[in-house]
Parts: sequence; structure tokens; C-alpha cells
Amino acid sequence: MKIPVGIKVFVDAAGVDPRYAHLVHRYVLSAAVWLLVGTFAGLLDAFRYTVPELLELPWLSFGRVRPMHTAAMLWGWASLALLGICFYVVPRSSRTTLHSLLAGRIALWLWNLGVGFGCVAFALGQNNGNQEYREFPIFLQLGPVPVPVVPLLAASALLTAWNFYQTIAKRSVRQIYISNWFMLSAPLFATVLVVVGWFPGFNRGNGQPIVQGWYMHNAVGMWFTPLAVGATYYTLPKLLNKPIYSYALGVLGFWTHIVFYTLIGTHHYIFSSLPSWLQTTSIIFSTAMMVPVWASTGNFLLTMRGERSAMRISYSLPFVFVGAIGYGFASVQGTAEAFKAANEIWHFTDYTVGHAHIAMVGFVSFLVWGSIYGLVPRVTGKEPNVELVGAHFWLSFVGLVMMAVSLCVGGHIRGVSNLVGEPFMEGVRTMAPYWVWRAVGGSFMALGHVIFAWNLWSMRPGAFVNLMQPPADAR
Amino acid sequence: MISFHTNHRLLLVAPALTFAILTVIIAIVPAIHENTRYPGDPDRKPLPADVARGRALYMAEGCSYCHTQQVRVDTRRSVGPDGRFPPLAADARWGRPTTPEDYADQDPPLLGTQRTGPDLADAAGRLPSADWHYTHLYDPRLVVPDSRMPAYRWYFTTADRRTEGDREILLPAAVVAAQGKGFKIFATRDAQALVAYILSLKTGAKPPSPGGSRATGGPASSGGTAPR
Repeated sequence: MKIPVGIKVFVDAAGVDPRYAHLVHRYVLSAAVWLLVGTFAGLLDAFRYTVPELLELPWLSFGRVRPMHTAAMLWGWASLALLGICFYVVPRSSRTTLHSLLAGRIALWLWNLGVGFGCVAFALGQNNGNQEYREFPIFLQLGPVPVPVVPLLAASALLTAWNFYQTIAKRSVRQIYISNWFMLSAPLFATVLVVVGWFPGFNRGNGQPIVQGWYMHNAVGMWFTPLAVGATYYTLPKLLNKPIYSYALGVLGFWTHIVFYTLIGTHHYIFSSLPSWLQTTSIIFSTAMMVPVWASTGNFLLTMRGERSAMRISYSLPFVFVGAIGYGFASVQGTAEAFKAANEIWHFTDYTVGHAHIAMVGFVSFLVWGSIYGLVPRVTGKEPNVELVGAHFWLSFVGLVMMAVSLCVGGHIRGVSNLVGEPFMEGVRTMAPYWVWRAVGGSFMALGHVIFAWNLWSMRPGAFVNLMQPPADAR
Repeated sequence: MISFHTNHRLLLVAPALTFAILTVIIAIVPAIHENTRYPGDPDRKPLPADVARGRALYMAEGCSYCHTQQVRVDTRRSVGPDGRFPPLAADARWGRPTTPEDYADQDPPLLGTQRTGPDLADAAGRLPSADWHYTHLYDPRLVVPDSRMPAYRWYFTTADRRTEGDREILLPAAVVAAQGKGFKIFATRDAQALVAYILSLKTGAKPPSPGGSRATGGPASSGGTAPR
């Protein structure tokens, strides 16, 4: 195997306001810190499947570390990394400067504090009813003192939506590029998610699973997916120095995405006590979801067609390539999981966990890494060591394949074992070797993440950028 | 002509509004409708204090990440003599399928999304012994050798640290012998609350009748309609 070796990309960091360079870099650097927190939380729990007695501390027990892992990965890592990319893409594609650097900084701190307080809450056993991806309590109780968690995240999302809107409003080009459609909408989608997800009225009784299905599907589908897809609509043409294969496919993908994704939530509760019409609707739209998925994945792959030489010499394109395929793969898997015959076997097993990792790592994180390696040097003026980028790529890719294959294969076998009526503990014994492989794959990924964090540190804005005077119009 | 390509005001409002309207249609209205249709038991008493405390601890420790409280129903097969659909083949071992009435009184219900450990909708029906649950919580592998569950040892205490109300638990003779004669472990009040909650999780053979469910921490045993 040949390690993808990069060439020095054209660095157009000259003339960049250093305060702006620092802002973009701080977003992705904060994200990398959360990535490490989430990775080691996940690794700790992964090894506990093999050694249940590992690290017996009440505040780091399995059930408290589990939400820390998902929250640090989703709300810490992926969210901040994608927002950092947005802070680059929105002004650049609008051919203008960011509307407010200060609002960008405040939004970053609000978000970091929100995720941080939320993780403290989990350690203290304050969990919003184990409701997947909305476990953050509205307030963290530190003794008698309530500390806001969710309000900080909501305020940050709104501030960012306003900042992006004002930036796009003062664009110097007539057309609003498709990336900005996704990036302007996603913070508003997130605001809807927060308001509905934490609203006390209907999140109880048999209504709760309806909202829970809607929430956990769209927390991913209306936040990470549009941001990652929007980022790639900018990064990929930029790196290849050619237009996207079909702009119209992007527009089709945008609208079908909003309509189809929203209606899918109940496919997390097939065969449950929820109304049949909701379950059927979710299965139908899980199939319809293939339209926006292939509009984007197909668009990316067709843009990359015939660009093998560029793939060989770029250190960021391989990440985008894996991410585009990861999007298609994870989505096809998701559609298949909604079908009753498959759901009967796979639901409740580790197959779902494998699917979740293909989605959040193989799709979202790989596209994020591609965009970070491709764009951050253009604002900080510094490139990472290409051998280390290659090491990051292969450790993450091989680790993910090990983890995903072992979880999906093991989960399937365990599902069949349950279906044919073998004793429950037989399923646990069946999973044992697959859980070891998952932890080994996770260790590979962890090493890759450490190298990524170092690479990002080596890309920090240096003397070159700091020498530049801020342009007169910068705020 | 209005165009999303050039009108940023339209682009700010239209997608978010589409998402919000679809959310009302697919999530909020159905959720309110379900809760109106299954309002729960009008004469419901609040949970006993220890069961409520146990339920809070269950959520604090993230038990739902490995334990479901949801027995799925197979609507593809024909209804049985009782006019109800049978459970999914893979779920038959966990008791009768759970119904909307089972969740009507819960805020939030704890259906769970993964079943690394057993389903607990009918935990008390399958394992009614409090003594078993104490030993299992203290060290799951004393009673289930291949279990991967964490040992919740910090919910237990020793003879010299015990306080009023702590309760002695049963330990295998081999453990006592290894630790020395007179080795005793006591369940704290929190451990007792957690076990009280687990022992409140009962579905029974018959689904609940319409209009209400019992005041338990979990799926109820009286009341109900056929699962839809």
C-alpha cells in the first residue's frame, strides 16, 4: 500500500486577517480536544466489554461514560469541527469577510462550555432520561447552583445562524453557493431540534418514543449530514480545481433531504407500540432517503471521476473519497435496517453500533478531516507533515473497518441467535471475540486521532499569518 | 421571480420553516395524540418513594444503554385466540408485547435502543427474588458467569461502615471463605431503591385494559388494548 503523499497545496493565506485565522483554527482545535475526550471515553467502555471490572469508579462507570462518549463525539467533535469549516466556507464562498469575529468567538465559548458542563453532569449522574443524543440536562445542578447546559448550545446555534446570515447577506457575488444553503439552514434546524427535544409537554408516555425517534434521527440527519455535505460541496471542487459534476443535483438533494429525512424517525421503533401508520411512513421514507443520499454521494463520486492522479498526490482527497463512499454505505445500511425482515434481526444488537460508527466516522469524520486538511492550511498558511497525515488516514481507515465489520457481523450472528431462540447468554458469548476486535479497531482509531490532533496543532496560525496586518474592513 | 439562488431572506426562512412544519405533522401532533388517547390511569398514585428513587438511579447510571423495556410485537402474523398479535419470535422470551398503556404513566418511558443485557419490561416476573438482584448488582458474575454488566460495588458497604437501614446480602460460600469467616456485605438504601424499582417492572400475562395502567415504575399489568 502506498501512503498518500501530498504536494504543497497553493497557500492563499496571504492577506488573511490573523484574528480570523485564529478563529477558524480554534474551532477545529476545540473539536480535536473533544475528539480525544470522546475517543478515550469510547475506548474505556469498549474494553469493558472484555474486562467488565476495568476502572471501577462511580463517576466513570460504563453507563456514565457512554453518554460522555456520544456527546463528546457528536456535540463536541463533529459539531465544532463542522462549524469551524463553515466559518471558513461561508465568507469565502460569499467573497466577503465574516460578519462578526466577536460573535464567532462567543459562539465557540458558549458551545465549549455547554458540552463541558454537560459531560460534568453525566459524571455526576445527571442524565436527561437516557434519551439518546439528548441526554444533556437543561441545567447542571452543582449543589444548589443550576448551571445552564442546553440553553448555552441553543444560544450558540442562534448566534451562529445570525452571523452566517449577515455574512451571506453582504456577499459580493449574486448567487448563493449551495454549501451556504446547507450551512445557513443547519443551525436553524438545530434550534428546532433543541426546542422540540427538550420541551416538557409531549416527551412522556407513548408520545415520547415518537419524538425520540424523530429527534435521534434528525440530530444526525438535519445537523451533521447537511453540514458535512455542504462542506464537501465546497472542499471537493476547491481541491480538484473544477466545478461540481452537477449543481442541479445538489439543489435536488437539498430539498429532498429536508422533506424525506424529517419523516423517517419512527424507523427506530419498528415492531413497537407506536401507531402502524407512523412505522409504515418511516419505512417508505427510509427508501425515499436514497434520493438525497445518491444525489450527493453520486455527485461527489462523479466529480472525482478521472481524477486518480490528483487523488494520489493530495493528502486531503483520500479522506473526502472515503467520506463520500461512507455516506452512501451508511445510508444504504440505514435504509436496509428499516425493513422489517432485517430490523427483526439487527435491531437492539451491535449491528446498530457498527452502523452508527460507519455514519459518524466513515462518513462525517472523514469528510471533516478532508475539509480540515484541505482548507485550514489556506487560512493559517501552514501545512501538516504529509507522512503523519497518511498515518492518520490509514490508522483511522483500518481501525474503522475492523470495528465496523466486527460489530456488524457479530451483531448479525447474535440477532440470528436470538431469532432461533438460543439462550440469551449464548448471544453474549457469541459476541465476546467481536467485542475484542472492536476494541482493537478502536485502539487503531485512537492512535489516528492523536496523530490528527498533532497535525492540527502543527497547522496553527504561525508567524506568517501573524505578520499580516488585519484588513481595514475587518471587524 | 423568487429564487433561492439569489434571495438570502428566502433561504433563511423556507428550509427551516419546512422542517418545522413537517416536525409538527410527523412528531408533535402524533405524540400529543398518543398521550391524549392513552392518558394513563386517572386514579394513579405517585410512585412509592423508594421505587421513584430507584428509577432516578436507573437513569443516572444509564441502565437503558444496555437494557430495553420494550417487548416487540409481530404485526405480520395473525392474531391469537385472545385477539392480540404475538410477540416477535426473538422477543417471546421476555413476556407479552408492551403496549401504549404500559408507557402511559411514565415520564420519560425507558424503552431503550440496545439490548446488550436482558429486556427488563418483565424483570420482576422473570426474577422475583430481591436477594438475587442484590447479589447480581454487587457482582453480576457471582450469579451469571459470562455477564458483561458492571459491578455496582459502590452501592454496597461492609459491616464496619454500614449505617441504619442497610441490609445484608447473600454471598456464595466460596466468596465468604476467600474473604475470611464473618465476611458480610450490606446493601445501602440506594441499592434497595434500585432493587425496589426493578421489582416493580412487571407486565404479567394479560395486557392492560383501555384507560389506564397501574402505578408502577414500569410496564403495567392491568388495563389495555391490542397492540396496533
